[in-house]
Amino acid sequence: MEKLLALAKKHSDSAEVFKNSYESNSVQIENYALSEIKNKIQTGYCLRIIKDGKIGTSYTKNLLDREAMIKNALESLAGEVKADFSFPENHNPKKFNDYDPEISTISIEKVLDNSKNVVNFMKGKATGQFNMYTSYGVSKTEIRNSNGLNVSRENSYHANIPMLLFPGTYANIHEAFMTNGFNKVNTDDLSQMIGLYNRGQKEISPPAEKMSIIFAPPTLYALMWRFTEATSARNIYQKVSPVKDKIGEKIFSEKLTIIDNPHNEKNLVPCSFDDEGVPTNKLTLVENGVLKSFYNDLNYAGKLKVKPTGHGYKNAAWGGETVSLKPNPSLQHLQILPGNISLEKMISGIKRGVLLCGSLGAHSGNIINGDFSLGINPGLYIENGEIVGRIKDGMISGNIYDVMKRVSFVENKLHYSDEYAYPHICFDDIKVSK
Amino acid sequence: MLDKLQKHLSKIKADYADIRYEKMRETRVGFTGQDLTGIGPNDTDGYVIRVYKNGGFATISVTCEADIDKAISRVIENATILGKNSDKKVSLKFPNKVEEVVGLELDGDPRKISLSEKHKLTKHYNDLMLAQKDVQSTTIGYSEVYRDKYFVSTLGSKINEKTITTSLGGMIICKKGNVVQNGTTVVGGSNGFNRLVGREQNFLDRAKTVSELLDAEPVKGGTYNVVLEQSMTGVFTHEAFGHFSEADLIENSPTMLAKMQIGQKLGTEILDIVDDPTRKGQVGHYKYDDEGVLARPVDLMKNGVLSGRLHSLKTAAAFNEPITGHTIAEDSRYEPIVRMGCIFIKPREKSFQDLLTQAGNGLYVVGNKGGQTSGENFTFGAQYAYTIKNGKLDKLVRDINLMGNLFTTLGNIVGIGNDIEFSERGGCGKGQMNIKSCYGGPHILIKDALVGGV
Repeated sequence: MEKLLALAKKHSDSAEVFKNSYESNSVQIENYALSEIKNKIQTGYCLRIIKDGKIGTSYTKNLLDREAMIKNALESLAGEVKADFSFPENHNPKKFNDYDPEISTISIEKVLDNSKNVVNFMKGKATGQFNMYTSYGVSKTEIRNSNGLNVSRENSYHANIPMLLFPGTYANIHEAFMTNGFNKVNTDDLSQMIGLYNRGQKEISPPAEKMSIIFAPPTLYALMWRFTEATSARNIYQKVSPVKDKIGEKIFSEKLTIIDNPHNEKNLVPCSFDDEGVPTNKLTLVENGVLKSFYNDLNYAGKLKVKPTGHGYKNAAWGGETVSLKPNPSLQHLQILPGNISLEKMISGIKRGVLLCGSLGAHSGNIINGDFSLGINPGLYIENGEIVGRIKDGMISGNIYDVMKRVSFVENKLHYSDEYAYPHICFDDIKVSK
Repeated sequence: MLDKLQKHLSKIKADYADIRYEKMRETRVGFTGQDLTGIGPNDTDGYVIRVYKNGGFATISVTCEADIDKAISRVIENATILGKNSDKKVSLKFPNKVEEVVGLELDGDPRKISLSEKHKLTKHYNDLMLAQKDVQSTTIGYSEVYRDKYFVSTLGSKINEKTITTSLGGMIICKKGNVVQNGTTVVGGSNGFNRLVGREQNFLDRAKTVSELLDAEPVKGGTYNVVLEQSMTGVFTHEAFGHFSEADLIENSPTMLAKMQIGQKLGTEILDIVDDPTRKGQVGHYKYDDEGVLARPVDLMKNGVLSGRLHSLKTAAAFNEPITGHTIAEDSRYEPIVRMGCIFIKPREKSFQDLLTQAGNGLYVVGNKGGQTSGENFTFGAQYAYTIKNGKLDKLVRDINLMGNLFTTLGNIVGIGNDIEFSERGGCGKGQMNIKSCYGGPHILIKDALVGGV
């Protein structure tokens, strides 16, 4: 990295080198049986150079030829993309307890034993097909720039995602167990998953009408995708966000407070700096329904002439190799604050509704406008406070600036994934088509 | 390079092994509104090693050659563990040994076009968009992906195939007051740069429609007779049926397998579906897949009867069916998995107007916005639609998402047009992003389709 940075400085006013290396392993259980083991040992480098207010970038996986990487960056520089920012100065990032060295040396046999225990626990408890996806590994990110920045973070993870599939489909009831150290699956949570699955055995055709929909945490991304697009500095700068002029206005129910909380150690990957090396902090986006802030990366902070919020991450909606992506405004540690009711009590208070456990088609529709139209996949149908079966075919649709005003319940528990922590949330009067 | 890979391969003691080395050069130019946001070429490379031993089949991907010995030792260990611990031993169906170098057939080699020329063309289309009525912003980009793949296997195969995919397009965003609408258009393929030139009308047509959408009403959710425009037919075929014909997706699902038996009648008499990666010029074109298998067209459905499916070496053995050459990886980070190459419904005799007349009242649904599938359930979005009233196109409507059940819908395809077209962009996110998986088809009529409104 040092040699590449030194070489890059010779051709520019300032330069930055980003390196990401990771080892990942995955084990797949399908229909109660071991089916696959895969590994990856990967590295990659990204270079950004700024000269005369213009920026050039290049990336590579295998740093065999530094001169070739510089040449690509200089060719990019010649395109004259404006750089309205400068690279951050050095700082001492907060360290988190998110690296367990055991994960880098753990034996595949130990991981398989854990999976076998789960399979044995599941056998005979539900009629459906049982699959489990396990992944574990370590990842290291290092950033250096010519302003003296020299920061790194190293993270380990072990994730188990067990699921029970409904017949003829991948629609499933699943749980996600994710920890930085060895992850022993909690059988109490498995029992809850089995209970929900078994209550959804009967196929039901609900009436096509407006009803209460409880979004399970994994399905809330469909709504939050629309919200995060609208509050991204990219869409504020482009003047296409419907909430561009609504800071201080109530846009959602007062029951909703939405924050980005990168220092929370319960996150699988807490971050004290983003992928540009900018220090991060807790950011309140919505407080009791009132819009409080937007978020940005260095590029859009510069264009909008506002302070960087530390949300420049190298990721994209459809994945991709980290080093190949340029930093983009992105919320990696979203949290909706919990409410005061358990999921079971929430269900018992609903006369007619759906517990949405999975959805199809979140990427379709007019996302920036807040519109959504989702396939129910699956949804457990609730009648008079009881789950009475599952909806086979159906859609729900609406607009988040309408639907998210009508929150009736927020669960008292947060469910963590690698990118968010959400409770179950019940929204009233959502249209169901069939 | 093939000799170097052969040396590494000789270190592996197993029943079968292969190594793929892939060099990739990606060139991109991107605009967001007036701003050029990125430009330049990038080079990446890496290795994927697969080992089959005593009924266990494992994969590892590795970036650096220095890590190959460590990777080989780990993948052999994992294959051995899989063989010991799996209830069901894996078998493989092997292809013929092949030694071939496959070059490019291009109309305008993108590698010989300067970056400034690519920048100029992208800016030209972007400026054209920004000058249109109600256009607030754009996200328009040029993308060129050149791959140079080297493959060796213990069967003695040595293959080097080069492919190059180009595309130019993106999103147009229109705004009036607080109403924002968007639409996408892309031109591209695998046969050179020249197909991107002189395509202004594609961009102008889409900008005009997006502007008109600002005044369109949202569709009312419900059941409709729908006529699908060609790109929608393509995405429907891909999402609803195509994924179900990928053998790896159903191999370990007894309930899905039971429904997808060869010889089973699943669709109407008029329905023929094919996947053909060998169609030259299409985004999905290739000669050998990432297992070194010669790709071939596969009849997936004939007269509504299931007649074939897409395979890897592993699934072909599990199903005892012929290998097809449909196993592709996103890039050198990934093991290959079963993918569609270019899937389409074969045309029949009806004109577009015949289909509108047959529909009577319903929706004409245009411009795919991607889809998603989950076994027999699927959904896909559309950019816009026109209502059909007494066999004639009527009002423009927006916010279209279709959902359905595969088996019900295949039985509801009651009209097929004579006007087949192929999409100029690919893209499928089945675990890995495959920019080359593409589709096509003629206009079709589906009765009683579920449309979700807003």
